[in-house]
Amino acid sequence: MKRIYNVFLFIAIIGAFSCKKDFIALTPVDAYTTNNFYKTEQQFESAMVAAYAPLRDVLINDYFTSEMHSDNTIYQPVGSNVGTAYVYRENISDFLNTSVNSYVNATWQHSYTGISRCNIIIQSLPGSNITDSIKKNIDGQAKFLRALNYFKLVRLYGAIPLFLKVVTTANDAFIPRTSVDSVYMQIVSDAKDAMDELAPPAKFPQTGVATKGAATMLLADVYATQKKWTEVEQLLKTLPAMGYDLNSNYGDAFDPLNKNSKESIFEVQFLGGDMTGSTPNALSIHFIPRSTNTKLLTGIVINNRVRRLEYSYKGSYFLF
Amino acid sequence: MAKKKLVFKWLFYLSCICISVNTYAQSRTKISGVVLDEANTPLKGADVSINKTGKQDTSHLITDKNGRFVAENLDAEASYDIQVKNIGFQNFIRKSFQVKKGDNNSILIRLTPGSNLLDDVIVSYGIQKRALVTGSVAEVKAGPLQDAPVNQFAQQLQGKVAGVQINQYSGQPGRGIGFIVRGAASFYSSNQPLFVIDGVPITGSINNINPAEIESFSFLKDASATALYGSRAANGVVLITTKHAKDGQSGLDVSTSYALQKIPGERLPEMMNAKQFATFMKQRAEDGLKYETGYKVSADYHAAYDDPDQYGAGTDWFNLLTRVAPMRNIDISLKSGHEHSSSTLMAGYQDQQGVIINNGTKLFSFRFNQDATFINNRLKMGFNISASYRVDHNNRLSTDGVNGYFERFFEASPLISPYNEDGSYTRIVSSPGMVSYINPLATYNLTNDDYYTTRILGNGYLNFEIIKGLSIKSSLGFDKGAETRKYFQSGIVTGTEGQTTGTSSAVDNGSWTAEANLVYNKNIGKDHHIEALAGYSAQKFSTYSNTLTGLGFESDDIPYLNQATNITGASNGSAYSLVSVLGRINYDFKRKYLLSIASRTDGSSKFGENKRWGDFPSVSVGWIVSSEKFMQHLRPINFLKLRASYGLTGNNFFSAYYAPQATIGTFYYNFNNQITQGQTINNLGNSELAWERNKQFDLGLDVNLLNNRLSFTYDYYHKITDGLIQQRALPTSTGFSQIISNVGALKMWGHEFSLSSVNTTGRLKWNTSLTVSVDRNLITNLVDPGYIRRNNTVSSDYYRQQVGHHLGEFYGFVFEGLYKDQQDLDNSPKYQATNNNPQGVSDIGTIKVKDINGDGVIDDVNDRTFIGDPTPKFTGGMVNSFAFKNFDLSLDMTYSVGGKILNAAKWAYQTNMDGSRVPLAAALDYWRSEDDPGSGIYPRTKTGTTAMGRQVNTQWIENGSYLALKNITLGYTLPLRNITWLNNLRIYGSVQQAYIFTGYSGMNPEVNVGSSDPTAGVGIDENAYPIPRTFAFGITASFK
Repeated sequence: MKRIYNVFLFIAIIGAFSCKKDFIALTPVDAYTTNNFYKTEQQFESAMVAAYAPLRDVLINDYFTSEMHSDNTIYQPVGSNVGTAYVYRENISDFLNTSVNSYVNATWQHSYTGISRCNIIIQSLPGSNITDSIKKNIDGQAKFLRALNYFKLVRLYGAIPLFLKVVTTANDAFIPRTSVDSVYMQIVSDAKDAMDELAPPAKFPQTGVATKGAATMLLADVYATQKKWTEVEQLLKTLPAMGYDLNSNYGDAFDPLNKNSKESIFEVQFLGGDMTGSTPNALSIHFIPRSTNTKLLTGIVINNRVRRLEYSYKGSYFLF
Repeated sequence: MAKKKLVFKWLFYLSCICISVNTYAQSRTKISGVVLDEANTPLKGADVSINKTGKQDTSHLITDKNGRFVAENLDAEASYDIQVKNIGFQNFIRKSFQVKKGDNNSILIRLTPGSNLLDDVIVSYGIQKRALVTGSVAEVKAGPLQDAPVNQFAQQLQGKVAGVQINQYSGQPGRGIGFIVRGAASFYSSNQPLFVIDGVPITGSINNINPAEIESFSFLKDASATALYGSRAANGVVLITTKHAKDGQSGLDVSTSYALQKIPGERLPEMMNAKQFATFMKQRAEDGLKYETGYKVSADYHAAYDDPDQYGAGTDWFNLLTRVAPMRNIDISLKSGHEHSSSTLMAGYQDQQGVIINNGTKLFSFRFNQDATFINNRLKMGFNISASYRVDHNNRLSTDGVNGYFERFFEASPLISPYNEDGSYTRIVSSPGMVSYINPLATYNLTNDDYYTTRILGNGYLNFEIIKGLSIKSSLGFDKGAETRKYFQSGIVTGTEGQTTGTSSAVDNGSWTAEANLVYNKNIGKDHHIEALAGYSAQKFSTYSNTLTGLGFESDDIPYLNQATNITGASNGSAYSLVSVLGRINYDFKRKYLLSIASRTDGSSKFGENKRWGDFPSVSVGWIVSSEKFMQHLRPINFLKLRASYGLTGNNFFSAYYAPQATIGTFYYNFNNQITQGQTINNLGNSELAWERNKQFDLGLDVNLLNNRLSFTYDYYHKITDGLIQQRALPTSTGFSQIISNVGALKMWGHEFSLSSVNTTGRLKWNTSLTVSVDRNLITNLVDPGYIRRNNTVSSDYYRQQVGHHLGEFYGFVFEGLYKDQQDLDNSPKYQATNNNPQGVSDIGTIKVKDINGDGVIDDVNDRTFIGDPTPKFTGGMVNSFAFKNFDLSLDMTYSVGGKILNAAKWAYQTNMDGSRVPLAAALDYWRSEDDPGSGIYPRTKTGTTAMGRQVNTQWIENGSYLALKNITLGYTLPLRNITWLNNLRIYGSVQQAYIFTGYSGMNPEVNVGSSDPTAGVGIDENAYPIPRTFAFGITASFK
């Protein structure tokens, strides 16, 4: 009888080992995954930082995608180098760019990378136990960035796939394009939420974080695109009250000392240096003039502003 | 009483052991004999009948636990017929055995396995009579395999089981072999079968299991046989049973062997020696100066090669780096088998030195199996525990593949000495014009890469018969492993000169498996037999690892990290778990009509949230046709069974345990001019990620003919594996580029034939077993664009996995000889020709390839095609075993017919005509001019034209058919005269990897760069550690 008792004890032990509900719901112990991230305030702050990061790539690639089309800049062919990147840039300038053009692709991709990082925040916030005020602030920033990215995309590509949730299965990934009007409706809605949830800049120079001012300006820009001038005027008039003002000189905007100044509504942040995590802006080297003396200059010539643009900078002098 | 018994025993042994000479009466005598099985294990309980020839005066005897019998009171000078019967063996008959007066009337009887229909076969979660098995199960007894001087059981099993391909792709001691059951393949997961040892599915490697501990293997091949292993069964299941002493089996067995291993000389490539290489290099420069404008020859080049006659053979790197290496082995097993208790204690030691210098492996193993029954056999409990400790020394260095160390043995310059004048090692051993090679001899001597592996594997079980017919079986198993690595490489041979590097790393992992099953046996009436099983199982595996790498050592003297000035490291941990319910019903009607339904439901932590649970059902039926009345008069057919099965199984062997979960990466931005770190998803997970699904149909036939002397099994299988996991490209509008998904599909089908026959049963016994496997596959679905390249080169993009093709079909150019003359060049398409450069990089004497797309130009994209199929037409093995008197001989062969081999080792490196590596001696016969075109195989050396020779083309493809004489063993069982303490003593000599008959020009036709993973290549020879020929001498003794 005692032995039978032992049998059942044995079975009970096995049962105890294995009957836990979460026995097969495992998350890594040595790394974060979606299953154990997006819980704490610090994690959301961190995810927010990551959502800003693609802005730099959007800016750099958009510079080629958009500005190469404009009459502000022009390429100068380098006979000895017809590498793909050169050809792509020339193609944009010549209005020959197609969907395989890497700059067109990169602008698309980095904008959407930013959007997906905003989506995960917006989607995960409601389920978290963070104080409401902080929740509001994070949600506002994420919606501002999402609206900013979609605004970039809708103007460049027209009807686009509208992702508002992060993809978790392959089926989620293949969605059709949404009409331009519907995309604008989403942008306006996000920008309005951001305006409501964000505070005006606390101080100048600003930190680089999105503010109520940035959201206001974005919404005004959207309305201006839609030619809703009354709304634009109303919105823009609220800006001075938030502390914004113009610098005394036009050129001051380009003085590194005036980074994030009162004239600045929203700036994409770069930071030079060679430390891990530094984020230098590679765009500047694209403007280095061509020179045969490679000891003085790198000689990289990618994009040259046209004279007219040069002259428009009144009061600033260039050495070439 | 006990004393009396002992005395009696003593007298008994004295008087009648095996070969005894006792004649206690003038006209009366006796025969004493011993009955053994094929592996020389004594057979207890065999029925021996002795009948005076021509008379009906039979006396019956039963062999004792040592397999002995003594027939007394026989007439001297008469002849007797001796017949021995034992279940599972052929009847033994010796007619007219002459009984002599006053002489040795002894007989050694070795029974041949016969009809195994009544044998118990180990199947998943139980045992079954062979005749009633409805799935495809192949059993291999380990006993007859154990003379082979090898230390991995996989080596013993090559060619033994139809449908199971075992290739030794590398000769690294203790490594380099894998299984492919029925062509199993997976792009993302492992394709290795699940190994279950004494009922415990193991989670660690099979390398540390001493083959001497194994009693038998059961290969479960079809869905019915494997279904109870559910999501781990798609690659087949191998059930391994270790030795448990049977009732009456007591004693001490010792077996030991000593072997010498040698690289088979006849298969080595013959490279240029110093003089030949200097001649080649000299001619190369002469041709350059003659044909190429602006060709320059450096002063050191002139100095090295202008006078080839100053050199002899030069440095023979291969000889310096290889050796005849010993291999030692001793296994001791202590058995004590009684009616209610069985203990088996086994200890083993293996030491295999490598045939390449300064490497080898040692294994210390220990196992204790204990079983006991109580309460009239209603309660059975026991445990099996094994511990092993392996020391691997330099045997995991990257010998194999491109830029592997073994390649260097042939490439290093014979003009350079391995030593400087002061006796220190030369670092770079390349002559002028060659690419830079680090001294391979120094590399081998100045690298120390040791792994110390401890493994503890075991389980405890308890079976209790609650009421008659209903039992509960429970088991708790564990598989624990720990491995520490100690690595140190002198700065003399590090990639960056002087960067002495040390690594210390450790892995600790383990799993536990808990199971409880209810088994119910019920006979309804006379004809209905039911066995039902319901069970529950849980398994969890977890691992922790860390690694530390040290740089900045002051000197090479102390190989420990505390001497390093710069140490970096990391630690990691992970886990997976599986929880399951399972059930099976076996039903038969009149033991003629068989039905088995089985299913397992697995919940696995490795799958996506929405796919954690999977059901793996199967059904199989069998019909024992030979039991039908209408078959009874068909005398030659002793047994005939038809089987069919269909079922679903899965593959969850991925190493990425958290693949369904998105991973979090680090990104940087800055606020307030401060670097700010952020974290968010960097790779998508997939909450729908599921197991790879395998749907398999099997049709089988088992037949025994001619008094069970011929038994034959045939199986046809057809499998569709779908939901193969691959990274699927996503629109970047998702913010990501790919998602892990179940997309690919493969189809596999094949035929398996196994035949075993008892050819002669008289004084000369001869048995043969033959297997033939026909395995085919087809890729039916892959992620966009429908094919997978090996890589983006033209030189090592050996194969392309493409929808509509077989796995691993070779891809490259079609060789059409060399451009013979100007006319040939003018009229043929040229490589990389453009408008500006119409000759491209082709010239007279360079390699001409086929213009596949017919556009008049040869280019890398459009002019490569499928150029060979590595899939063999059929493979298999044959074992012939002979016994004559006290001698036994076995010949073990494997073969493969019709597969192609891509000999990259030869063509990518050893025929390189641009002087950067030492070529084959045969390449001296290369094209030099139209008047001296050489053999027409090796092109000219003109600068910029030799690349085509290093790009995959049909020249590289060879027929990979082979017949390998894997093992020859000749044994002799010593007649033991009056030795009371010894049961059995046998000596044997054995040759492993005796000879390979093949037209293939490389070293090993079993080689493959993708090891045993057909999705990583099939039949590609990219150099590997050579497989030695091993000559062994061994003794096995069993003491009482």
